[in-house]
Amino acid sequence: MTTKNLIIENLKKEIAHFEKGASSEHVGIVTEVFDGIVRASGLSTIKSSEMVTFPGGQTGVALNLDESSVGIIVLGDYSKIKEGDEVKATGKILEIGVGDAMLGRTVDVLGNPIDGNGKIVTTKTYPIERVASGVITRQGVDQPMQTGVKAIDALVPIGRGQRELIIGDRQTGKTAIAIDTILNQKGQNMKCVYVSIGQKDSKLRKLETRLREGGAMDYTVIVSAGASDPAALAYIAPYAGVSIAEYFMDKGEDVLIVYDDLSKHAVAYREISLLLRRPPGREAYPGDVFYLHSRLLERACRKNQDYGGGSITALPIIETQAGDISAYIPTNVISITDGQIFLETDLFYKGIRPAINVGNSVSRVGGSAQIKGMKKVAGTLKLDLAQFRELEAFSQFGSDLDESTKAQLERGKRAVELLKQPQYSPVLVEHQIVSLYALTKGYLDSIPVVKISEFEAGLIEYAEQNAKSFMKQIREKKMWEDDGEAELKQAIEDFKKVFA
Amino acid sequence: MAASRTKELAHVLFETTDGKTEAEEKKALKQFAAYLAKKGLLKDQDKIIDAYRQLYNEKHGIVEALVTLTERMHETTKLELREALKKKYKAHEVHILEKVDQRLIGGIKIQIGDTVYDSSLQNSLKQLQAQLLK
Repeated sequence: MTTKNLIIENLKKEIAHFEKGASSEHVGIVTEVFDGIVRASGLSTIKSSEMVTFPGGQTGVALNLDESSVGIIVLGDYSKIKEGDEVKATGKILEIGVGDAMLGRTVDVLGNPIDGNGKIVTTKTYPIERVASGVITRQGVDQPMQTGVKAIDALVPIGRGQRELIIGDRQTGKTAIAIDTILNQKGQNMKCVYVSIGQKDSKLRKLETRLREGGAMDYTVIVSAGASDPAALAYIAPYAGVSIAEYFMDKGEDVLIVYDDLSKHAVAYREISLLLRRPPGREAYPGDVFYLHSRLLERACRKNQDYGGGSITALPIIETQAGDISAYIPTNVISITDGQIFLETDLFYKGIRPAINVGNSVSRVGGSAQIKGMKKVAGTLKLDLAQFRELEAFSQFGSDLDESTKAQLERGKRAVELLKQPQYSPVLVEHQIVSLYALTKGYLDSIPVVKISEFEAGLIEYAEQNAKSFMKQIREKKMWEDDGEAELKQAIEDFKKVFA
Repeated sequence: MAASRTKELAHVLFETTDGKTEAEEKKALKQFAAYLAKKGLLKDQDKIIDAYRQLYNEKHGIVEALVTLTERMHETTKLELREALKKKYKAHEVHILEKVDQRLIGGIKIQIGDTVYDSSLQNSLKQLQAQLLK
């Protein structure tokens, strides 16, 4: 059979299944088009956030239902829509195709692939706006979500199902923390969704390449509404992302979702609201900007065993201007989330990276999810750091310090040094425990500050070889036993001799 | 002008003219036009007339159907269609507006209000296209 015949045969087969029928549709007429907003008359039976289609194939969502017209946001290119065009109501609430096939892919807000790797076949669809899981289905946070960042896992631990805000000025490493966390989920039974809102396409490309190199794309979906996409897409993006996450959660899996970032999301929503002539409030944001984020973040949850036991951990990111966390959007999101990781420019330029301000960062529920061994070593660390900060400011004025103050200062310096960590190098929790154990038990006091990181790297390697039962206890029982501890102590002392 | 204002005016017009004698009707219409002129609303007369027609049809059980075909409709077809629509919409009267459009290729398309019943060949081809592209 020639190729031509083959094509014809295939077409015939396809057409054989086709059932033509009369269709009944509700239509409206476009009366106004401006800046991504369409006003249409007619459409008298349309529902709120119902999808509509335009003759050019674009999708729109009805947001404002007025007495004689409908305000529609266009998801896509609105330059080809003109006055007098026919708008068709689809009868469907805005939805997105979800499925395992999305893993490893970069998609737009409607689930269409934008990575050039072909079609994504999904069998299920989830509505983009969905009511968060109810009280009955939920459970307290009690499982740790290891970020691989020492300062976070030790001091502001995050549990599965928690919502932890990452907040800071531009260029303080907010995205870096999120990416490190995704990279660290390898082999932790986690699916990840990274939602990029209004980010540069070059940044997204770099990030995707980085995740692929780290083998993290196998369990990650990237949802993107770029800087050049209309505000309507940026507004929908986080909801689309969390719908994908909910698909995995409903299968009983643990999911991590990163919203990068919600300040741009609020700005996009402000643009849409102003164009729809909704009354502006503080900083020109509309009145429902709080609800905008609270309904999104409420969809993060941990379900109990009766409801599959899945979870969604949310890491929203907020960019502040000149460290102002009392602006409208930052205060809103701080009050919604279960804690925040506060990044500071000053620390960043002092070379303390990740530039986490340990004093202002909190985790309101993560403590109960921290593994026992980590809790033991981190408890005294927090105290050490708090005392160090107080003494550091005080010691600037005088040089005459007593021995115990000096010791505390030295310990603090080493703690700060130990919590430094380069980008893209998450540390396993058992390794974190080893180095923090050495610090809090005072083994590092005799090591020069500049040599701390070198010592730490060597110690971890040495402990892997010479404190095997300690490592095994942490991995299996999440806590060491007396014999393990003795073994580790011996290993640290031996290594100190080797190191010197 | 706000849409509700147009509706209000159409309502006033309907109340003052419906079921009245011709003389009364004429008088009311004159007064209405004078009021519009005074308030500078004459520029909106098209909208008011549209709203009035809608209201009138609604009150009197009249259904307007825009029927598009590729050629002029047969009288018997028209009659049948009218009867069918009367039944479906429980209307007293059905006004049929005919339109000839070759782009339909074949079949019929009926629009009533903002509902479109489309069994044209053009629509079938579109559906086929959508299915093949899936």
